[in-house]
Amino acid sequence: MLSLLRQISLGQLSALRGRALLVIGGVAVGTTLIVAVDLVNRSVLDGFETRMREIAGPADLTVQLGIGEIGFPEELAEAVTDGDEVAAAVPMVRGTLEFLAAGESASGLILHLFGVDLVAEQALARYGTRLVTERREASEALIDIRSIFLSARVAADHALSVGDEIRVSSARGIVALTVRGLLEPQGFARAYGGDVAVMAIAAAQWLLDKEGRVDQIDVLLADDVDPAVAAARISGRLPETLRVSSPEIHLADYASVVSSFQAMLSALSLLCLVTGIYVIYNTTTTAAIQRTPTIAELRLLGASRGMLYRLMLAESFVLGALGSLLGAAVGVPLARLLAGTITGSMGVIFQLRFPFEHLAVDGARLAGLILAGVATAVFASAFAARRMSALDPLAQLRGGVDVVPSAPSSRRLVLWWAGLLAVSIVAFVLEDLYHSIAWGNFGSTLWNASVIVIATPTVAALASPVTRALSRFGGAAGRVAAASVFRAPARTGVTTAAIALILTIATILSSLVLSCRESLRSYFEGVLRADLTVSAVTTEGGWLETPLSRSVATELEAIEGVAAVETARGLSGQVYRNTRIGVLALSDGLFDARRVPDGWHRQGDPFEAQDALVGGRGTLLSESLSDRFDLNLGDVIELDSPRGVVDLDVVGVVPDYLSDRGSVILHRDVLSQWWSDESVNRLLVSVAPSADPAVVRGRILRELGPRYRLKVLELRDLLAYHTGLIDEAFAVMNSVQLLIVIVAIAGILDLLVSRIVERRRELGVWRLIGANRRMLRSSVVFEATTIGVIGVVLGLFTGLVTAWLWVRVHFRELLGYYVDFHFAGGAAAWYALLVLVMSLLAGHLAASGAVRQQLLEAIRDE
Amino acid sequence: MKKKTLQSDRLATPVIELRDVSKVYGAGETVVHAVRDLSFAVPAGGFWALMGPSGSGKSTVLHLVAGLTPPTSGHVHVDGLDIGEATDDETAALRCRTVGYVLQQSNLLPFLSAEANVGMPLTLDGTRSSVIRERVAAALEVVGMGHRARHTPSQLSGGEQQRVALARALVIKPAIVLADEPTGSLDRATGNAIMDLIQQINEDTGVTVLVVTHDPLLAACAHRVLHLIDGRLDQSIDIGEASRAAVQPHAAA
Amino acid sequence: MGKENLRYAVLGLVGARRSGVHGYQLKGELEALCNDFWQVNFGRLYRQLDMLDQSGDVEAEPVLQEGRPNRKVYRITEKGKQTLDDWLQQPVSDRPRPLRDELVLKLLFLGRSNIEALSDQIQQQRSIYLGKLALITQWRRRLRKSAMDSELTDLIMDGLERRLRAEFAWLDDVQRRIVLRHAGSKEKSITNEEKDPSI
Repeated sequence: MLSLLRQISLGQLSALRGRALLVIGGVAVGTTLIVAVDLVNRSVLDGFETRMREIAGPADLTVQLGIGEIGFPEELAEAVTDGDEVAAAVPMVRGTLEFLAAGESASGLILHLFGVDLVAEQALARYGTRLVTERREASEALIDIRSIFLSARVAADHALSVGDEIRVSSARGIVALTVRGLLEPQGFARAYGGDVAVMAIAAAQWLLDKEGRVDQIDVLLADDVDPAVAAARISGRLPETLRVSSPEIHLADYASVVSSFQAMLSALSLLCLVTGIYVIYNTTTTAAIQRTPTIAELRLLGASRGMLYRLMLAESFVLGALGSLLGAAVGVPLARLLAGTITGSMGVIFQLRFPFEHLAVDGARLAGLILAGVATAVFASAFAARRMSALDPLAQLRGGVDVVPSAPSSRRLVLWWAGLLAVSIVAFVLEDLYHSIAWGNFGSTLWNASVIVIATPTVAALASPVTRALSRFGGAAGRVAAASVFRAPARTGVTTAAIALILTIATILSSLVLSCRESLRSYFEGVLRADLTVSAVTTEGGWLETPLSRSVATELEAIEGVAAVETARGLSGQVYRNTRIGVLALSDGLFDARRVPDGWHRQGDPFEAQDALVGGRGTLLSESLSDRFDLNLGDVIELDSPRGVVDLDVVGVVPDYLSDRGSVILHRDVLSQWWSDESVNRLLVSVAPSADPAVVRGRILRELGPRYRLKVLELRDLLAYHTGLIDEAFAVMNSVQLLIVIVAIAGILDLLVSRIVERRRELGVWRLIGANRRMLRSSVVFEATTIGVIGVVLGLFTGLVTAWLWVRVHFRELLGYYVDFHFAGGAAAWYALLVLVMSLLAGHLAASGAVRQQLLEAIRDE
Repeated sequence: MKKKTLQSDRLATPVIELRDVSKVYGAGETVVHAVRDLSFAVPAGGFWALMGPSGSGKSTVLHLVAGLTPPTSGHVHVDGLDIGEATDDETAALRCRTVGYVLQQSNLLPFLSAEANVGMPLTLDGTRSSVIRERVAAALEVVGMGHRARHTPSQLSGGEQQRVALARALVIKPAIVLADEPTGSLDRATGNAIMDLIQQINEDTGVTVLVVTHDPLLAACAHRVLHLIDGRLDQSIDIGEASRAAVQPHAAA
Repeated sequence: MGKENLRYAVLGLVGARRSGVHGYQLKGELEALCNDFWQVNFGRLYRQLDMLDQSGDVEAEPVLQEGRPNRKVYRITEKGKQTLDDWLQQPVSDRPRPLRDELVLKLLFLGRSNIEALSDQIQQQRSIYLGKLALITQWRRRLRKSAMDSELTDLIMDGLERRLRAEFAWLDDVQRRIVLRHAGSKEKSITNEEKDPSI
């Protein structure tokens, strides 16, 4: 087998070098993407884990609300300590500060601030780090609230030493702090890549606008206490909404949060897979046609069917292995390159800052992915291998065999198509009913496969009308082209299917992006409309800006030209029935029913809802939350707050995009009362009718600028900001899409060119009987264009339907956002144009090659 | 007359035997009877030729003997293998080990050297490469192509290609060589040289040869010529007898 | 071949070899040239040579051989060359003739009435042609083994071979067009060549 592989395969593949490269390329592209995506995913989770460990230190248990993103009253620490089983309870507050370099320009450095009880001297040691500096300096921190400890790394990077003053931007605005000590790069000082700062808990609470609140309480248990028993006993002393659990549990929580993103990526990988398999299938089939004489010859020389089948599988194994190895080799650096983009996307989607410190390359996993690539290649070429090995050598002896799929009858294909369609629709329905991503991926894959299956019958059905049209339009050249296109509908079907598949995929992804963009636009142009939107410059991850103190609103109101200021506070990390949702707290004016565009409320009426909302009795639900948990108008939702369970009446269902899994929209007084949260993320400023927003904007920046790092956006800029974020979130998909398209277009070019090359002899005969070059050239171009047009029409149609299915069904489960469907007609048109141009180009290339050849050469026997 | 001559061939064990063989292609309207009720037996070491007008079924007979297609009815025995009953693996093995096949167009693999082409049947059979090298060199020597072993088919003339094809048929030390118009695409002189080579190999090695040809000169080299018409045996001519008869002065003229 | 032509044939064959030729060599070439085998016996050949010797067109020179009777080597004379040239200048008296006149007559008269007999005739004739071609091959092999200058012989053999091939092909045509069509009209069997995939 080895020497056969060396002699036959090597010889043939070097003759069909382009095809072999296409197969390798197809596998490589798929593997590259999957490896890169998987690596980044792993690395992110790995980063989470490392960070968790670094932060958790020796804590046996942690008390927190939900998954620890929302704070709770600090008094509860006493309730935690109040038991024999607890050796120590360490309350902690967390948040971010922006480090301002000299001249207050943004350094881009976000410091992760931990507020701990510095009086309890052992606190730092407990977290595995120590001060490098003398204790005398450190004790100053107890007296001076504006004291900060920096990790030694940050200090070194910015040439800071103990006693220096630094400036940071916080919820309280720009604040000067004195460096009182440096932290050894150990324990939690290593977390976040070492961008860590520590302050006394009270100072941190003030700076982060979290007075009276802590984010978690780490518990050290007394010796010989069973953690499970202790957890139960501590829970008993706390409000039922607080969780007492081991740090490992948190990691699982985060893993489940990001799992939907992984599902999204695996959905994309499936698209890649379908395309990859199809490209390889096409390429091997096309190559098979050229290899027919060799195969027939080998059969004649005594090669059995099984041997040839194995030979061809071995070939694709080698090609697949080459492609996979190449893919893995490129995938690892690509992962490093894409890490920022992917974590960025994830940040936008989940409102979290994702750690990415190093690539977690797992050899076994990588090997698994490479094997998967090889398996894909072998699977995809098995069809051609089967057909080739079943080839009747007699047919070749008699001269000329059509190894092109002698298509099963149109009727059978249509039945297959109907079957695939039915199953995929059932799968989508199941996805919708059971919120199952797996069903959706299954349905989506079958759906794409159905596009391939229906292509041939479509071509067959179009034969007579298109032939008529071409004859009328193109005369003799048109007739020749039509004859060639429809002579083997299966062959044409294969090509049109490839085109349709690309367009479908392109349409899906473009429509997804457009739908998100348009939905957000209606959101920010509708209920959240403001002349000026004021927020912090920095974000804590994602798109939502770092909270500011509510007092900024008061200061804004005092500025000339400002008519009214409404506030919005988005709180991510609320946990509802084990799902991480968002809480959006708005001030009175934003519930004004007059702001609400017609049809915005999917359930309920804005005018009727207004009183309940402003009165703090009711809440609006996002469409996604309502659908996911079957909560409807008139139901009561129970939310876990730091102070216990809050019951709110559902008074309406509206679109909302704060959080991927859904959100509740309630009055900000409810947030103050139950969550003790007074901060705001965004201030929506209405400008007095007489004032110019741009002027007011300047005034705000001038007056508040020295004290706060603010971003003031006019409506236009706000929309641009969000569009940019969406593009960032979909950047990975776009690059995936681009790669799919490139590979598939190469496949289409190959198909078109090979069609013509095979017909060289025939074209020679045409010339022999008097057809001139121009006529032949135009017939070939007609042919390519006809195939292109049929593919485009099919692709646009299936693309439209598939995109709708993705946006309205699949995407809701994949990423969770319930966005309105907007068909990306423009993008689809661009892709259609691209494909048509490609077809024309391929037609031209092939035609000029075929027509230029010497007449005698063409009609001579091979 | 037919009966008599056929019986005289039964002196040696037949290595190819067809009994009441029919082969039908297609179905319904387009049914074609390529071979009808054909029986003959070629003794080991025999050199037989099949002649007849186009479409008389001569090539089909070769295809049947090579195990490329099973008979519709009747029995085809080749070196003890019943083609009608044999599996694909068995007929493949037959071509790999017992039957060498030469076609009109030298159907060498264009991307392989003469050497590699000749060695291919052995490679397919899984022979060790050292053995392959040895036997390939010997086979090329027999057909007088030893000096061009490393050339690719495109660098060889038509006659040379046909010699290489012959070497490829011989390299497996076959019991049977089948040749379908081996001189058909060659000029007369080159064709005659190939013909001589086939005859010589038959004499030297005792390999059984069954050749399909339009060329009466090539047919006349055989021991016996079967003339087919319309898939049936029209005439069986013992060339030895015929040439003795031609010497007789009574011959018409 | 007429008597006259036989004489010029012998003269020409002798003239083709400047160094001279002996009768034994001439015989084979002449046989081929005469389009038949063993019709030219040595007697007839030597009679012709004697006649040419007498007319002064060739000269015979005895060659001594040890232990065997002397052999004569014949050479063409100047006169002989002249005689040959004169003959060569004359227009060819032969007209193209139907091949195998006798067969044509028989086929013609057997016609369609007696297909059986016609078939037998064709089969016999085919057998004869194949037999003759077999002899040509044997002959060529024999010649190749002898050290004789073979260019002329080759040409002569080729001519004979081609004539036999043409007649053989013609025979096939006769069979196809008369015998088979006749049989076909009786049996209505399909002999359409295009329908046969094994062409």
